[in-house]
Formats: sequence, C-alpha cells, structure tokens
Amino acid sequence: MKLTVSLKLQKSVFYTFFTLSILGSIAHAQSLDTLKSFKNQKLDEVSIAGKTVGRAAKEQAFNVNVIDAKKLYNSSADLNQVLSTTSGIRVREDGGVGSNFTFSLNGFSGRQVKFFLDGIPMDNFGSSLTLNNFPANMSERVEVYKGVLPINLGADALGGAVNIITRTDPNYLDVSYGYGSFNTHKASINMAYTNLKNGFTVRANAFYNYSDNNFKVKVQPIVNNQTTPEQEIERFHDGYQSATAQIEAGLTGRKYADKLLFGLIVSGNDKDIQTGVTMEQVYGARTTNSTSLIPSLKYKKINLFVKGLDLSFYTAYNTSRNNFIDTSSVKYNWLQETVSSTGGESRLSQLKNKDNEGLFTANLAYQVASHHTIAYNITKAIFQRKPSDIEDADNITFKYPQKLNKSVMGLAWQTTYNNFSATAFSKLYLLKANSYESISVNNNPEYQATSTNTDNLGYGAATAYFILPTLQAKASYEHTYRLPEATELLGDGLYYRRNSALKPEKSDNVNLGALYGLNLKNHQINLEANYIYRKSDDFIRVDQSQVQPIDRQYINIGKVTTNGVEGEIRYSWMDKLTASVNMTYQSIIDKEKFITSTNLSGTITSVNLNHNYRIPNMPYLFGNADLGYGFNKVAGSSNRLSLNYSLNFVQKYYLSPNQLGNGNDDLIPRQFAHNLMATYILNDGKYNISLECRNIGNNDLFDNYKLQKPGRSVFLKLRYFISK
Amino acid sequence: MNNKNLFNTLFFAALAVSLASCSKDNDDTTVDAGTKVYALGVGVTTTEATTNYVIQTSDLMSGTISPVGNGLLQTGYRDYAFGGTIFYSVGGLGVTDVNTISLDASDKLTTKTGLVFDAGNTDFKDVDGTGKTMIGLSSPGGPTAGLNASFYTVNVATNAIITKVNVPVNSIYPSAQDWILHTGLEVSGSRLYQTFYPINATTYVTQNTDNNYVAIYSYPGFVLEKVITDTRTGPSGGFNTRSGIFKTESGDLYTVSHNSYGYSKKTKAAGILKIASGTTVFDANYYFNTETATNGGKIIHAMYVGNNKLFAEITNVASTGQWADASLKFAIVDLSAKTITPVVNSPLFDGNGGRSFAALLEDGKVYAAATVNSVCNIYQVDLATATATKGATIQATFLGGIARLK
Repeated sequence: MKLTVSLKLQKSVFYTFFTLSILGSIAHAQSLDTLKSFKNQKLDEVSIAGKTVGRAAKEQAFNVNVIDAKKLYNSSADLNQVLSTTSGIRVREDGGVGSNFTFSLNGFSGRQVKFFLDGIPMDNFGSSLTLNNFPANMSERVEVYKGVLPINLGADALGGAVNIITRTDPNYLDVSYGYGSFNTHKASINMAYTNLKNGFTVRANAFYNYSDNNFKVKVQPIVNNQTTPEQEIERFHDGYQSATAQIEAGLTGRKYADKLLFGLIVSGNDKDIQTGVTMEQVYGARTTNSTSLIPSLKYKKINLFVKGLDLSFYTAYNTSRNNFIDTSSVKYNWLQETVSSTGGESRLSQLKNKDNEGLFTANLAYQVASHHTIAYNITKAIFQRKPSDIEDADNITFKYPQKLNKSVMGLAWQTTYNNFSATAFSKLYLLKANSYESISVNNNPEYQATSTNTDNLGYGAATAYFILPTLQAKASYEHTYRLPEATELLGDGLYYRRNSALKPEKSDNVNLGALYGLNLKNHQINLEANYIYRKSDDFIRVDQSQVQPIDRQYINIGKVTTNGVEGEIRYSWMDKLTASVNMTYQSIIDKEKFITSTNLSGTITSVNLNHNYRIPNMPYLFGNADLGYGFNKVAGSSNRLSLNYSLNFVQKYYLSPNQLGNGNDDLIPRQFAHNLMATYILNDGKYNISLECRNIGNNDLFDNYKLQKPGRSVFLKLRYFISK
Repeated sequence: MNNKNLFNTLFFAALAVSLASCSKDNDDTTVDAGTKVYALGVGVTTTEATTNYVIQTSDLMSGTISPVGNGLLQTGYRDYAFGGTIFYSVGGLGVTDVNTISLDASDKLTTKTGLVFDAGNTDFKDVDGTGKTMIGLSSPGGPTAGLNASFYTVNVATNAIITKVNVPVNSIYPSAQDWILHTGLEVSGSRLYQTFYPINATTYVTQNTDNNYVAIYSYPGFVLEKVITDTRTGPSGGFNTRSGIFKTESGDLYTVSHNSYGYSKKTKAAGILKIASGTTVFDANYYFNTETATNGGKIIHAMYVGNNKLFAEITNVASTGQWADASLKFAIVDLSAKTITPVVNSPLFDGNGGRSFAALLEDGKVYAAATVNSVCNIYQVDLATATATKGATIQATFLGGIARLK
C-alpha cells in the first residue's frame, strides 16, 4: 500500500520536475533567442490585436464555440438559455427559473462536462452557482470547448468544458432590472473601478433572480386514487430565488503583478419543489436551499523575471451547504387537496450536505523560441462532503464521509505562425479517494477507512491552418479521462459496494472543422462546419441488481460511438441585418454487446438489446435560427431600435430504447419555440429598454420525462450602462 | 480471457441460431383466435437502464418471446399480479400506478389506466381466487418512508379502491431497533394472516431470527388482532419475496422459513409451520424441517399449486451472504406428507431476488423461468411426474410476471 502511494507520488513529482527542468534548460539555452523573438512576438500580437478577443479565441486550433455575451446584455436569458442556442449543446430543463437541468455537449452530460469560472473549476460550487442562475451581464464571453481542452482548463473532462469569462472592462457600471411573466424578477449590478495611477482595482457583480414559476400545465390530477381527465392547472409550489455577490479587489498593472486580486463570492438560493421525475408526482411542501462562500486569490504576471515567462495562478476555498427538506405531514395533488402522511411527501428528510473544497490552479508558460511556447498547468482539487440528516441519523453512509483529492497536470507545446498554429499536449490525472468499507462480522457493524490511488495519462493535439485568408481548417484530437468520484470507486459503506477494479471513463475525441469568413463591403458571411467523432468506453454507471436493496456497485459499462456534424451560417449586412442558423446532428450509438453484471448471487452476462441502436433519452437533431434588424437614429440621433426573432427546434426523441416494445408513448415530441425581442437603446447604450416574448406560439415544451416547461412568457428589462 | 471469448462466441452463435429459427413466432400482429394467450412481464437491462415490457404469446414452449418491436412499455420499476381476467402491472415513475392489462375483442393486449396507489406497493393478490377482489399492501421500507402499513382492497370490476386501512408498523412489531419487512399474506375465513421479518431499516442487519411471526387481522376490516410467534423456526420468507405463507384448499396455512436470502444471520433450521384452518395459533403438532428432509434445502421462492403442494425454488448450498439468491433448483414440496421431490431435468440457476414469484399454474403444469448460461428460458414442470421441459427462450434479462389471459 505504502509502496504504491510513494510510486504515485514519485510519478507526479517526476512529471512536475520533468516539466520544470525542460522549461529551465530551454530557458537558459534560448535566452538569447528570446530577445530576437520579441519582435516577432510583438508582430503576432499586433496581428491578433486586429481581431476581437472572441474572434481570436474562436480561431484557436480547438473546436470551440465562443459566445460574445456583450450582445446579450439586454436579454433576460441566463447562460443556460444562451448556450442552448449554440451548436452541439442541449440544456434540458425540468421547468421554469431555477429548475434542475441536464447540460449535454455532443451527448456527454453530468460530470463528463466540466464548468469553469475564469478558469476555476466550479463543479462543486453549490446549486446557486450554476449556469441557469448566471445572467449574461456578468460575463464577457463564454467559451465552450468540445472534446479537446487546452491544458489551462485543468480537469478530467470526458466530453468538453464550458469556461465563463467575467467582464474585464476597467471602469464601468452596468445596472439592470427586469420583470416578467410568472412574477419573475431579475436584477443585476456589474461594475469595475480601476485607478490607473496606483493600480487599485475593484470588480464587483451581484445578481438576484426570483420567480413564482406559476405557469400553467396540462395535467391529470389524481383524486381519491384515480386519475381524472386532463385540465390546465397553475403550478402552486415552484417558487425560486437566488442571489449572488462577487467582489474582487486588489491591484492591476503593477510591475510585479499584472493582476493580484482577492475575491469573495457569496451566494445562496431557495427553491420549492413542485414535481418529481414526472408530472404525476406532485409536491406542495418539499424545498431545497443552498449557500456558498468562496474566497479566492488570483495572480497573473506576464514576463515574470524573464521575457516570455508567464505565470498565473488561482486559488479558492469553497464552503457550500446544500439542504433538502421534506417534513410534510400531508401529501398534495394538483388540486392542492391533501391526505395525511407519516413519511413526508416522498421520504422524511432534512438532509444537509456540507461540502468543502480547496482549489488550486497554476499556469506557467514560456516562449522558448520565436514561434514556440511550452506551457505547464496544474490543477488540484480536494473535496470533502459531510452529509447529515436528523430524520435518518443512524444512516451509516452519513457517519463515514468520503474525500477526494484530484490533480490534473498538463504539459503542452504550442507553435504559432501567421497562418498556422499547433499544439501537442499530455495530461496526467491523479486521484486519491478516501472512504470507509464494512468489515462487519457476526452482525456487529464495523467499518474501516479505505483509500485508493489511480493515475492515468491522457494526450492530444490540435492544429489550425489558414488555407486562404478567409478559410481556416482545424483538426484536434484528445485521449481523455473522467475520474470516478469517491463513492463510485470505494462505495459508501452500505448501499454501494466498493469496486476496486473501477476504471475512469475514457474517450477518444476527434474534431475536424472549417471556418470561412467573407467580408464584402457591407456584407459579412461566416460559415462554420464541424465533424465530431467520439469513441467512449468504460462509462461509469450504477449496476443495481434488480431488487436487493444494498447490492449496488458502480461498474464500467457502456461503449458509445458518436458521429456528429454541426454547421452554422451567419450573415450580416451593415449594422442593420443579422441572420444566423445552426444545426446539430449527432448519431450516438450504443456499442456494448453484452451486459455483464456481477452481484452477490454471481455474474450474469446478457445480450444488450440496445447494441447498435441510438442511446435513448438523448436529443440527436436540433437547431436554432436567429434574425435581427436594427434601425438607427430612431427618435434621436444616438438611439437605436432593434427587433429580433429566434427559433429553437428539437427533433422528437425517445426516453427508452424505441426498438423495444410497440407504440411506446414515452417520446418527447418534436418541438418548436419562437421568440421575439425588441430593444430600444438610447444615448449610445447608456439607457436600454427591452421587451421579450419567449415561446410566442405558447407551444407545449418539455424535456426529461415530459416535465412541462413554461408556455408564452413576456419580460421587460431596463438597463443602465456607463463606461470610461 | 480466451474462455470468455469462446463463451461469448458460442453464446452469440447459439442465440443467433435460436433467433433465426424462431423469428416468425413472435409476430404479435397475428393472434390465432381460439388459442391460449399468455401475458409476460419482462425486464430488459441495457447500458442505460432496465425497462419493462408486457408481451403476449400463445406458445410458451417453443420459439423466442422477444420485446423487439413487440409488447407494451411499462414505465419505471414493475411488479405483476393476476386477478379475474386482468394482468396487473403495478409500479411506475414517481407514482405507483396500476396498468390493468387485458385482451380486447381481437385478443390483443390492451391497457386501462386510472388507479393510482398512495405509496409503493408491497403485495397485491387475488384474495380468494375468484377474481373479484384484489387485496393490496403498502408497507414502508423504513420509518422515513412512513409509519403505517396500509391495507386496501380493490374491486376488480370497477378498478377502484373499496377500503383502505392504516395499521401502525410499531403496533405490529414494537421495537426501537428493528423495522419489519412484509413477506406474504393470505386470507383464511374471516382473518388475514401476514408473515414478516424484523430487520434494521438502516443497516439491514437482522438481529432477531429466533422466532417466526404471523400477524393476524380481521378481514375485511384489517383490524390487528394479535401477532403469534413460534420458536421452532425463524421468520418466514425473505426480502420482498412474498413466499412466506400459503393457504390450502381447506383453509390451512403454512409458513415457510428459510433464513437465507435477506438475512444477515441464521439461528434456526429452515422449516415449515402450520396454522390450522379457523385457528389463530401455530399447530404444535406440525413441524417440517426442510433442511434435513431428503432432497431438502431452503425454500426461497414458492407458489401453492393445490393438493397441499408447493412448487418451489430451493437451494441446499450454504448461503454466501445476506443477498445471495443463488444455486436454486425446482422442487415440489408436499406440505401434508412432509416430502420434497426434486424436479428431474431442473436447471441450476440464480433467483431474481426480491420480487413476486413469476410462475404460472395451468392444467397440472407450472411454467417458470430460469436463466442458464445467460439465456432466459421458460421451463414447464409437470407436477405429476416432477419433470422439467425446457420451453421458449425469452429475449430479455428476466421474467417478472406471467399470467394466462385466455
């Protein structure tokens, strides 16, 4: 045991030292070249400076969607809604504001996709710090990396990552308030102050969301144990509110630090739960709430000690509390009639999850030659969850918390020429998990600490080439891993058995793409097409033998091959007309031939009847269209009126394997949502008024087990913006 | 590794042959009028989940019964019951709904919905075999799920609940340490007899295995009269198996204790006790030690097949742990003669754990399913000769319920 630990330790130390020594020796040998290369570098910067930061991000060799959030500051949309209008992404929601959601990227979902806030992994930040709470106003842009990640986003992402980049304008104030259907309020304040003389910088943003979510749904109320005919009923227990404040203060533009910022995020939410997994399961009293407190430190310096050596690091400590309450003495139906209950609405619970997480990420990059850079990243996360529930105080799994210590290290070489860029990288994934296992004999419950270490090496490369000044071709590949969680690996001491043979989920991801951009006087056309290929194996899933209560185990089952195409066309005419359309088709096929399940009765192998069929419950064809027109000088020379129409489309899909059974009704029908928005901008953007109508057709929209989403809704937003 | 590959290859080849040879048999668009119609509730485990389907067939003895392009999807976890002419599929996602499946005019399966239970269902059976009234029980798995066991009766004709009575679990078995899990129920005369076993609701440890327990209620009032105990065997039945108590034609009741599947400890030999018709005490003169009997063992799953006999799945292998439902064989148990007859040609197989026993009695023959070498097959057991014959292949992971609708 000790031996393996020390071996693992050696490996990571070796990896780090190897990197540093390469950097060191190259730095020494190349110090002369560095000066020479400085001119070239400057040239590169100039050529990049001609493009927007977003455009430069887009032209990286990676397959990346870059969403320019600035264009959305007048919209009421949260980041989930924004991302859902781009290719490859479907966010499936359970209902209205604050509802649970499943984010899927090229068919990957859950922990296979990782989220970052300014490069800091935010998977465990608590339920009030999720994409559906964030207004577009807080971000500069959002980058979605598909399948292949740059090393500076250090994470075990199997299918890609989303990085939210917060606003960096040095001096500005952006205040907005909106009100809309279902008593929805959304307010946000964003500001930054920078003293250019002494570098003192304050950046702050705060936002608040509230909604009753009392939209109407079509349901069949259950009365006296009988289903009654369908009727339209207003939701009555679905209120949501969340508030977040983020402040960063420190110094920028100093000799020793381009950025040295101390920050604090304070966040919380309160949520009523209206339904379970289906519309038939109604609740009138269950609630959840959460709080998060996250202090952080960020440091960045370009040309540290020597020219071409850049260092940045972030560290944060996350304390979040997620509470779940079901103490009701009655159960509700859709008509709000009650029957008494001794087991809550679903199960008595006052579950409190106390999560603590220490995060550290550092990036070191050195330009070793005029066109060559070597970069190193380390990201470390130590996560611990302590659950408790006074309604179920003796639960063994609460007494023995799990702990996870994850490190991802990346080493990359990058080369950049005017029309060509390439990077090759490798990533080392290290995991140490701690849990407890039962060693009970003769009915005396007894548990002992258990831990495990794993390491995996991933690698990849990405390249981009401008065939013509207007046409860029891209290719990227990564062999990547998603590491198991502590429970998945070690069990929880009771319900889940340990699986010491559990391997991380792995995937080989390939992207091929082309970007075409044409500027013709007043016309601008951009085309993008991507082909994606994913060959994923060893998915981690629960193997629950049919009916034994505690004979469960996480196993590696699931082999999936994805072939997908995504395309987008954008057109604009002067600053008046914009039009865009994107479409995603993904063929996500189950390639597992046999299901092998080892439970306490023995090993059973059976044929997988879904072999070579589509993975169910996964949208496979969807798209979006957008059309906007702006009128300048409307009632004033610095005023502008713009009108926008957008359409979201999802092809029908099935929740269970459709080749099984006959005439299954578990399908999510084809859906269209039409949205309209009018924005009036006064005084060159100082005052903004927007009126938005989502789902104008009042079409029935659903995701996940036909949980109904809001019908037609209207939203009015007022915004004030000044900047120096 | 090579063995595994060889096995996979052979297995696939065998399956392909069986599919190819029988592919026409499972076309559910053609139902021969006048022939028998069976409904089978099957579960299919894929990489994503286990989904359940109810399929019809006219032939249990040959061909392949497959849910591919065939059968009615049953959402969520399902248990099956039969009453009158109706195959009940109870379960679902979120709420416990009841799909009542019967045959339409052209002998095709058709579903009627509407009935919804308040909570998860623990037992559901035709109370007296007349097909008029179903008796149901929702017994919570632990105190956080509810403090009351809830008995109800359902009128088969109207598909509606007639009576619903709550009984505090704590009144059936007062204990600060243990909870109880239901293992079976029978109505005899004007009383309902329920077997259960004590278990810790959080750790699933079974500390108290020295007694057999039968709770006796008035019927149809469901008023708890008393709980009788006997020290000759441990508790009846196992985790969620509903094979704890059986009634004969004369109204006599037999409790079946195995102390194996679902038990973390065993202190008594597996055995059967009797409660004579009309009485509320264990018959002191009846005791059948099934473990020491010739061809004996532990009776994990069973159904009553008439003439004081049980069709059973028994094991004589020492248990490998609390949740092992393994090394089973078919057997016929004569309750009055206290004999156990092994079924000739019975496969050796693993059980389906805690669910109702999927077996069908028809004309002196029992149809049950067993998975051998990863292929799930129907087996026909002739009760008179105690001989098994391998029947149709079920292209699914397990058989959850079976009934004859016509």
